[in-house]
Amino acid sequence: MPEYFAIVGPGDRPLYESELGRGAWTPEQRELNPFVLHSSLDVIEDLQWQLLPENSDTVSNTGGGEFGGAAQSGAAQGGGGGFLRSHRAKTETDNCYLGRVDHFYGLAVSAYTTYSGLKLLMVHGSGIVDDANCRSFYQEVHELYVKTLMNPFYSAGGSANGSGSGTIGPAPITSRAFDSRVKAIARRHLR
Amino acid sequence: MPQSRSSSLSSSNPANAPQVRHLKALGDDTWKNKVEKVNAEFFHLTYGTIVAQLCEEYAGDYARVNGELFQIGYNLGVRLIEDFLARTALPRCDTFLKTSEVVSKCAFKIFLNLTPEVAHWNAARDSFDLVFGENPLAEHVELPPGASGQLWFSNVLCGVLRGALEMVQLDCDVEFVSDTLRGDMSTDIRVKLNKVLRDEIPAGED
Amino acid sequence: MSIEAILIVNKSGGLIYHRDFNNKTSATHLNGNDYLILASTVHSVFAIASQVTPKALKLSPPKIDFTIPYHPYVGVPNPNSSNTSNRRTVSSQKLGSFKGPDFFNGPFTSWNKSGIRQLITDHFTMYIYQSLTGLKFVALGSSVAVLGKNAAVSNEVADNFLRKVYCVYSEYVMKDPFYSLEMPIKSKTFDQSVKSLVDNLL
Repeated sequence: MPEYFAIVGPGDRPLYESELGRGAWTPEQRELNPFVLHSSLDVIEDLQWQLLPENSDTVSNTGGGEFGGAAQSGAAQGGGGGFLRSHRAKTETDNCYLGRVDHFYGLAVSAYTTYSGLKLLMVHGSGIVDDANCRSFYQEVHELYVKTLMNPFYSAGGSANGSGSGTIGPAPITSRAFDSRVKAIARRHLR
Repeated sequence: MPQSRSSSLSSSNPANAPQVRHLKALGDDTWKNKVEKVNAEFFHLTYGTIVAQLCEEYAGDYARVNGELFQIGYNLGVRLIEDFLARTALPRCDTFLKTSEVVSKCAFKIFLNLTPEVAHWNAARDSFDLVFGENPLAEHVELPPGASGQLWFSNVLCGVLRGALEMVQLDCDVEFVSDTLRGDMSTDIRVKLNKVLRDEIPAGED
Repeated sequence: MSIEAILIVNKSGGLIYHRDFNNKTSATHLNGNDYLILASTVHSVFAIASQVTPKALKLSPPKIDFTIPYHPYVGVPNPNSSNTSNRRTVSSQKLGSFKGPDFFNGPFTSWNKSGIRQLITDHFTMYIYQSLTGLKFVALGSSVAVLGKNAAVSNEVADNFLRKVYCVYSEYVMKDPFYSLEMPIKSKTFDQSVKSLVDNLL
């Protein structure tokens, strides 16, 4: 079944999108996919800052990028707070992978967040999320993105005077090598 | 690079084998035991940022960026040669062939942990190519669309070689002839000896 | 009985560094101008010396071995030494980008083949080490046996020592981005490093 994959940067700006997996989307569905995906962003932001159940009344869903992340992680170390789905981390080694986060008329949406506020999302045409394969896929794409950041010609965002205020963020990824590598990773992990 | 190719290249090299082996051992030993290392990521991010910033400031005038990189390299080379000589105390090369081996087996080894292949000698034996299998300056780099075909990303190396060789009285032209970043098969730097500045060789060496 | 002064002469004969380690203000103390004259004289005499080698020697050049044996830890504290007061300085001693415990660890070939290497008088001895780029490192000592039990050993030790001054020069002078080539050296770190090399000779 086909999959629609996208990377969304801070400020909910898309950096990269691609259709993966076997088969093709219907033309109507193809147009709908970005909307499905973006409607899941709120869910992810809720999940992203979700604390342990006893502290859940203090959940913040502003999701304001790296500064908020730093504050939250400090709280996590200080008290019984959680950081980035840490209640899941008891059983899983990585807590960036959020698994199935949303669904929409038989489609499933899975997600993965990075510590810099980047969101990796995928609409699964089959409606089924294979956690093991999905996690490997996201991890490898994340690694690939880190390598892209090492390219001096890729603008990772922020300006020289340090006003990283959400208007400036990572640039859309236009590299063809990135595209073909993502597709190669998809061929290995998604079917 | 493929093994078959490298062996065919070195066989065309009439270098004195024991001497070359000695240079290689010296380079390896110095790199391993006598040089403090820096983080590779830090190094190539620093260099990459300089190039990217130059490209931005010169608004895509890549010929000018190449020139600036060369000049930066030249200024580096005339200083770095002292470091190289202080570390190795190698005697003056009596042939350009030996110079090529010193550059490849010692200089690149000590400073970048690389041993570029010496290849493509011309008939007059005053010009050779350094063929790089890998290039730590350009790791992870993808050239912006307009730069391919114009920018020599690692042009600083040419400047370094030119400056360093000039300080040991070898007047050389050093330039890139191909770069894998541009989609070429290999990364080659050509070093061409113009003349040995005999008048400038310090007294007391002969 | 030690190194009394270090001079560095650039390839055109200009004095770019001098330092007097003799803290006594003796009557023979040289002033800055004297050092300038001394430097250019050394430079000229060195060049003349390389020209006056008898012709006969040049026709059938004698096999001279220009290899200088390595004398360990000249000017650098020995990490294996039992002297505990010395030992403490070892860990704090940094050789810059040179990976310790010593700047180099093997014999090397002298670049100075026909110039003056050692000048002995009744009152002082002068040692000259020349780099491939034409830089001269000059050390003035108070007597012949200042660095070894005889003139030959003394000369070897001096070459080891001066090569280390060259190492320090390449480290702290050449890598100072604001230093202009061929100009007088003002670097404090270089000065301190040279001083510590000389101090450790004792």
